[in-house]
Amino acid sequence: MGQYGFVININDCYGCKTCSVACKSENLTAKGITWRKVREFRVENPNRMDFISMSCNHCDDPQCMKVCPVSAYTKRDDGIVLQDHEKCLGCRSCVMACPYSAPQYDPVEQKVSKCDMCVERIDQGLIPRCVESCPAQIIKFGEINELRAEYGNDIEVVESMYNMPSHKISQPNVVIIAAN
Amino acid sequence: MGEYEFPLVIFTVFSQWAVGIIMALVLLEWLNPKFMNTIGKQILNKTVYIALVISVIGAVSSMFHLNNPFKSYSSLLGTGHSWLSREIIAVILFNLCLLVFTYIWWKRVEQDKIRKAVGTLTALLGLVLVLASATVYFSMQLHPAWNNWTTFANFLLTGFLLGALTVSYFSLKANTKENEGNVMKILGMYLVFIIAALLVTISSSVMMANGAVESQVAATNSITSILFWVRVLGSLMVPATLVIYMIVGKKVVPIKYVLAVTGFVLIGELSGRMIFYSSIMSQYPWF
Repeated sequence: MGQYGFVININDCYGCKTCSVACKSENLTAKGITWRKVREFRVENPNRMDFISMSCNHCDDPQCMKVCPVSAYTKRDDGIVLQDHEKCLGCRSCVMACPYSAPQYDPVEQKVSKCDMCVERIDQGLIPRCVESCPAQIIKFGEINELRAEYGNDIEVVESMYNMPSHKISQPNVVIIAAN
Repeated sequence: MGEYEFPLVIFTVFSQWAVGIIMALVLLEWLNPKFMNTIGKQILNKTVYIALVISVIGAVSSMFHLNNPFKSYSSLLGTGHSWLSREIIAVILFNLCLLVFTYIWWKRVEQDKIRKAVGTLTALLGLVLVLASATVYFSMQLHPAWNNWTTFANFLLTGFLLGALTVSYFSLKANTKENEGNVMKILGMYLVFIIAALLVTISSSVMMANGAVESQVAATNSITSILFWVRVLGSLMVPATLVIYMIVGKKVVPIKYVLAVTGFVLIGELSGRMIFYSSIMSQYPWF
């Protein structure tokens, strides 16, 4: 199996945040911690709202893994970047380094956590909860090269439209279909 | 308030101050060995003790950045890839060497060659520590405001300035004839260089937008903060008056004036470091 990744279709997303709620319900994240967030962008011309649902992009060059002093992050053969939560010292280097704000710091527990792509579900042959829950099938999941071949890979266009961090920093495994 | 990262502010400023003291001492060892081998080794011992104390305070402070200070040893596990792990190793090596250096100043100060050699080694390890600390932030490509030369310059100059002032204070306190001569000129020129470099660094920090929105916001956050101007006043304008006095003035510099300037610079550098962190961390989440 190659690298897993997500597709986000901004064109059709209407910002219901079911994905975000489903993720929280599945992973029982703490108060204030939302592994999958729906970013909202107001566009003037034409007048509309765009929504980008994003969690962790399980990058090819994970900055979290690079900066972590306790080596809490590992990257599996299927590309999922996992955190060993027990090792976390709460230094927040990964929070500083991740371009997509995926690792989130819980001030109560004083540790960081992030999306694990529902790895336990994947190991059982299921799909991530956010993908399963999306009512409009906005979020797709699969082998990233297959997804890029099917949906295109205009990430630079999306970066300039929504002032996203450059993909060159960490090479995220996500396909984002821009709004028309 | 968490965006100011107070434990890291104390850790970085104090560890750099300790390194700066050692560097100023070693500068005198190399440029004026006659002074150091006679009067210097008798009057400057307190600077080494102070360096050790503030270095330990800094190191302890850094542990309050973690959820469990007693597990901080595990932060050495990432030396293969994490500059934070490497920084911690540098802290340990510098402090071990500083401990030996302190012992030499306490019990073996007469041994000039050993004192100079260990001092030089300690200074070099200190330089490695400051560079490693700076690289932790420089290496984050996500943050153009950190990913440039001013991060290195800021960290180095904090140490150089505080260290030079500390050594100047104790040199003047001894009130020897040598103070009016070569030693003050060396320290005075050293301070001129540091202040000029700091002026360039602070100016560049706020002018360097790198075309990135985050950098522009960071620059705006900086110059609209009272802490930035506290730094300009405390770390630039006040010590500039001191160096003018030292170099141009014909009278001996009053000792309390140097102490006051050191206090101003410490406040200035703590303020500047708070701005360093908050100008970026206040912008979280990045996306």
